[in-house]
Amino acid sequence: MEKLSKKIIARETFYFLFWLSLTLVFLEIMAPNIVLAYFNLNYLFLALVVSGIYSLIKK
Amino acid sequence: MMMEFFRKKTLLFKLRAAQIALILLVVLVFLFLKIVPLGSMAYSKDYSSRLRSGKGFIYSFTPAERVDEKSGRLPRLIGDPVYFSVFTPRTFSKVKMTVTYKSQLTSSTPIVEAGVLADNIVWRYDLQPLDNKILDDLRLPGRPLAENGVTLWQAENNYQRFSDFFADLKTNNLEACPGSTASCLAVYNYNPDFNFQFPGLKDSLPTLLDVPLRGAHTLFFYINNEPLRLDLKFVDLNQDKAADPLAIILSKDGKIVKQVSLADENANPVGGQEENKSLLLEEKNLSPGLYKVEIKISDDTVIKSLQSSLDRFVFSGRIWPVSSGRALNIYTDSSYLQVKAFVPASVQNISFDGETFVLSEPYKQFNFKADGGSPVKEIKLTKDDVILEAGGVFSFSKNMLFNPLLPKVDRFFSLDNGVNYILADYQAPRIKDNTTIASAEFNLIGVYREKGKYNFMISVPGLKNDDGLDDYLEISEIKMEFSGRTLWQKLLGRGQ
Repeated sequence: MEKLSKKIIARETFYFLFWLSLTLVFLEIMAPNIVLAYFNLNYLFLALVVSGIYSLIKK
Repeated sequence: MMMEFFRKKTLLFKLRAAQIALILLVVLVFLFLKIVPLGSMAYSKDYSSRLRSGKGFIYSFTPAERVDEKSGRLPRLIGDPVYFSVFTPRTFSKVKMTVTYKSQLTSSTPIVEAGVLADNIVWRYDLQPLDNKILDDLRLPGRPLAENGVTLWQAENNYQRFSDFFADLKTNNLEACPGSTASCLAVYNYNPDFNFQFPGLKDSLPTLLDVPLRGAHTLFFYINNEPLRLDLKFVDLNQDKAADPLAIILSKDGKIVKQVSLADENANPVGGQEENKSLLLEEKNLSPGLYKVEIKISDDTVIKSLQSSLDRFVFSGRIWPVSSGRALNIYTDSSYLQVKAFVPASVQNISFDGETFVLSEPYKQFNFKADGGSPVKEIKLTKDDVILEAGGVFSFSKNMLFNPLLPKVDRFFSLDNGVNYILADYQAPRIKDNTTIASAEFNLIGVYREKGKYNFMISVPGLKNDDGLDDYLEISEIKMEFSGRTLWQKLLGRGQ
């Protein structure tokens, strides 16, 4: 069965968090407060930075 | 076919497709939360929970000096009133507010109310009761009647049906009520169909009131087949940069008869540059009865003079004389006054029903109670720019003072005043384990909303943060259940 390497999983996680962050920021700009009322985006940005650093390390 | 398509693709492709689907799902969820297609949504804030992932929808209480957040885990309201705003992603038509709290109030603060900011020009809140201890503890010998949320308490079993009571009320002929209806009926959060009869009706004369009054005022006129002409001169102080529109609304029995208004065309006033304005309200064919005139202006506008074709009027609830430069005599039927000096120069001794009271500090509300039993009490001010508030009416003429309103069950209410009936639109709150759960409903159509937020208040009349008493209201949860048009109704143009 095809398996993905840890390097690829780390990279894909970073890509996913990046596009998710961008999408939520765009949603927040179009409809202010709609995301921030439910969810603190800082946690997502932190996860994005950590996954980015991890991805670089794995590379 | 789709499954076959995916089966041939690599694992990486499938992973990316799943990521895109997840992001699209997140977008759809937030769109659902923004549009609220089903028309109803509830937002709540549990003050005992430390876990908070987002900003939330219910914002903090203000002003800070009226809220104690240090003594306990939960916020304590120690002053009156306290404001908070609620963000909503769209507009709604009504809301049910449920407040869960522990009460550490005294007998001098028996009433807890909540309100929504309905009009930001005159800063008017639409208040609804949360708790009225006077009514909760009321025990009259007669059997109470209850129908459609309205309760009638009676001193004797004079009425078995509401319809009989309302029929007698309309003709001012209540059982066991020898005097005027106002002497034996008190109300709370309810305005029954009541015909006020002006005692000793004589011809009315034109009058000029040249005492400047600041901010919004409400007047009651009693008209006896006479035309009404009100000529008001205003001064827009332009001390703030906000627009200061003017409006005069004439209404009877809750229905608007005539309205005149003047928009503020000076969108960028120079600070402090005063502008003179005027408005005329004239109406000839008026049926006899009681009329309400609301002068809707902001606190940045002064009524310089009021020329009226009739002198048969009183001010209701509040009066704010300014800049007259002379001592003033004002008359009221209320036995208590709430007084605030607006500026330091207005600090003074006030004579109220022959007793002297000291208004010793500016910006602070003082409560004065007259112990004499005279029906008309004189207030003597040596300096103006003092805000006077009372549950009754005010007049600059002793002979013209009349109160067309029924007495209210407020914190100064006493059953000793000979009241035989109390009529209220009120539901007592639930009490569970020393915790009170109280609800109030508000109509949100047309209320003020700024930057997606509705503004609310919680009021405990008489609660002060500087009186040395350890009295407070400890809030554990606020829940707001909003309801409005569904997406389908909005698309079809139905509902509101």
